[in-house]
Amino acid sequence: MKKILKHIFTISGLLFCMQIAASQSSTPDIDGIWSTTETFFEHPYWTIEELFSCNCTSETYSYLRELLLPENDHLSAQEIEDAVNDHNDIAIAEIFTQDKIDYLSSYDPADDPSIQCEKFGIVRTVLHNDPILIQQAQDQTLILPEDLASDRIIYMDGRNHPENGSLSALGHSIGWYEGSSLVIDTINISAAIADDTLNIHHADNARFIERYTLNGDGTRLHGQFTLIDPVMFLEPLVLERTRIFTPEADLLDAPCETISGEM
Amino acid sequence: MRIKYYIKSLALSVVILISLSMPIIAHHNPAAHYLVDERIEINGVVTEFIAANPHSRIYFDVINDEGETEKWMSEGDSIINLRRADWTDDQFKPGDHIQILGRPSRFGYNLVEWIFITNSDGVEVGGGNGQFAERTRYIQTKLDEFRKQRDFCFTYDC
Repeated sequence: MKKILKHIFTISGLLFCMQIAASQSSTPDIDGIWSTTETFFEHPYWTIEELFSCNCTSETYSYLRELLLPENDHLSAQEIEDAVNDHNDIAIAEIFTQDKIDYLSSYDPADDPSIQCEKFGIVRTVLHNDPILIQQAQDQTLILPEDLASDRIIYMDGRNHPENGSLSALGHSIGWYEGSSLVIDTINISAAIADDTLNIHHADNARFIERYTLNGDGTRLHGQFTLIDPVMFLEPLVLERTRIFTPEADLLDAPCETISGEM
Repeated sequence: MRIKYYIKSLALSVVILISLSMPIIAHHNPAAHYLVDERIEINGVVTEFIAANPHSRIYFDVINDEGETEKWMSEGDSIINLRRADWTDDQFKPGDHIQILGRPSRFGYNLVEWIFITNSDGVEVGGGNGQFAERTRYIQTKLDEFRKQRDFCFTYDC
């Protein structure tokens, strides 16, 4: 009897250790279509806080939580959204360098290349809020977006960035997993608009780090985006936004037509 | 040194003010073509609707104060987003009477970026700019529910 019990305990222990090892080495399953509140706001997954989500700083999200306290019940949803956006704009502008301020004072939004149907660069692609399709493979992860955002290949095979690589709109992206997170590091990025509605731009050789963390039940992908650009920002700009799993979504497409702003 | 500080503060304030005037949803920044802090309301008759990307367009005739017909154009969200708001590619047809509330042209053209479009039945069509109005209404409903639930649970210790 003692021998049997001993065997049972040994086997149980082995199975337990194998399970721990398996969970630690497994990659998060983030295959599929993920959407923001911009296109899928009527979804049961969203919490009230997430319905107000944006490409915002963590301080702005803290401010949002304050706005949802009882003492602010006199505020409408629109007023809360406006307050959150104002707070975010100020938080971002506070870390502009003088070069960035000077650049903005002479920048004309009419010069936005997307008006002439030029595809977005890497940062603008990531911060664009339309649905994305993530496809995970052994050595690459593909992220396919809509519209003027660009298709991306992230190399997951352990390679390093090329030394002295040439700059491009999408740069060079490598990725790896850390627990339940996919981390993507992109360099060799050419100067571009990072986000037109937030009025942020980056210079040549900015570095962009994305971290996508899957929640426990696989319904949410929390995105943290770090733009490192000492030319335009006094410190790294860190924005966050959550996407939800929407396998029912279609990624739509339509040909782009250039416009001139005239009749 | 102090003057430099004040100039930098002033420049930063201008930048912040410009940023604060940007709307939430935009394929590209509407300040490229429109005065984003101003509003005009205009009535007209549709001559053509173009479902396009990045911006769909409505061409319409407006009778001015002198009784003359002016040609106008209004642009809004991409057809991708409008389709998500159940717009069709022939949402507006020639002859439709519409009222547009929008942002006027930055350069004085007969151009308006629509925020809301109301048809001749008084129905707001798709909230105007894609799903913007529906989204705002939905979030308000959810906010009201959240506050009720929060207060209920505070009272009854959920």
